[in-house]
Amino acid sequence: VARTVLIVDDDAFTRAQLRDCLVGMDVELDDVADAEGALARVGKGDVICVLLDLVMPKMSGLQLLGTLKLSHPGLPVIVISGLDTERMIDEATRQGARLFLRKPFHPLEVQQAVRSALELSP
Amino acid sequence: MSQWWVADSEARVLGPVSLEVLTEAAAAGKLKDVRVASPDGKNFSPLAQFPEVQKALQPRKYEQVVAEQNQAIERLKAWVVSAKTMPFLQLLGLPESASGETVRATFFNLLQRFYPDRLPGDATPALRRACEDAFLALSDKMINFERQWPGDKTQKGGAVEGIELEFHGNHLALKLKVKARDVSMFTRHPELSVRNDGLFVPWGGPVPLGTGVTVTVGFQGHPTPIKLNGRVVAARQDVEGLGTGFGIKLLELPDSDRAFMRAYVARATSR
Repeated sequence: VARTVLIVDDDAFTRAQLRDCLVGMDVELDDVADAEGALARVGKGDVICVLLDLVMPKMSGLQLLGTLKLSHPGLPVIVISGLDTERMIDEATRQGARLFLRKPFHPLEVQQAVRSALELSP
Repeated sequence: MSQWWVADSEARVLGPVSLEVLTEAAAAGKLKDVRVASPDGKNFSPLAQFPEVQKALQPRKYEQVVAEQNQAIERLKAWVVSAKTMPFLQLLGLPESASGETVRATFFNLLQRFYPDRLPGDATPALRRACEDAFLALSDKMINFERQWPGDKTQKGGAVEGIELEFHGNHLALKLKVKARDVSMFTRHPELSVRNDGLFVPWGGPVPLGTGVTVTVGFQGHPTPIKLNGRVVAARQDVEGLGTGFGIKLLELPDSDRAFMRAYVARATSR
């Protein structure tokens, strides 16, 4: 069964960067540019972790996070954002984010965050 | 508490968030392009229709800045009080089954919130102290965890040229000799580099996270060694090309030492 890490970010460059960070890990990678695409992709059943931007067109990252927490409560979501103020980090964590990574990120941070998230998944 | 959505000129949406979240993000210069807002996330209107949102996004007056910083100090103090009594894994939001690697990664992730150098330039000394207190409280919790965690104590402390370590209880005295042609310990780690008041020391042996460190650094070509204080905040096995070693976050770094080190590293790397 495929185990897919899904990257959700409206910026194509960031999506490519995150893919590069995770190449070599024992997972499949997929990416989408918006929340609608993310919900459709998660619905296929093989997504084991989501990397999520906060600011996106139509549906925001926090809204998607809330929706995913209802539909897939065990699915770990790692928020990756440049909006890294104290209250924003608290808000994302309160709404169910497993971890909050700041942009710009380093490949090691991203790999470690995904590894940790997967270790703790049910 | 009312929740809001805001969107920028490219119709990228943030929300639902409170006015406090918006205020703090705007104060940090992170919301410069907000054009419209919505109380329900569906119907967006120009900011002028929502004076409370407009106010949250406006540049703040000095008195507001001080009031917000005082609030931040109170929050940090409250966090320290609760952190001292809360079980460490609960504080990190981790289950008992979490591995040592996950605990360390989560500790590092949380600790970054309390880096004093992440504060804005206008942060008061009291806010810097509160931030540092939280940093130290979390580091102390980590030391206690490291004592209990069986971990990998089998590695041998590798003798590395120019690096001397001496443990005194929970404290580490570290002497470094930095050559002008190799300043990699100040540049190799993404978070713990001279840019962020940090360094990463190549070392083969175990060093508990949270350990207090006194670092004496002799820079080649510079007559007087610099004395620095910090905490060990990261440790790595030999993965992803970073090499084995431990990372130090420097605290209470005098401006003159910071400026000297940055200039030294900049000169060395431009050669």
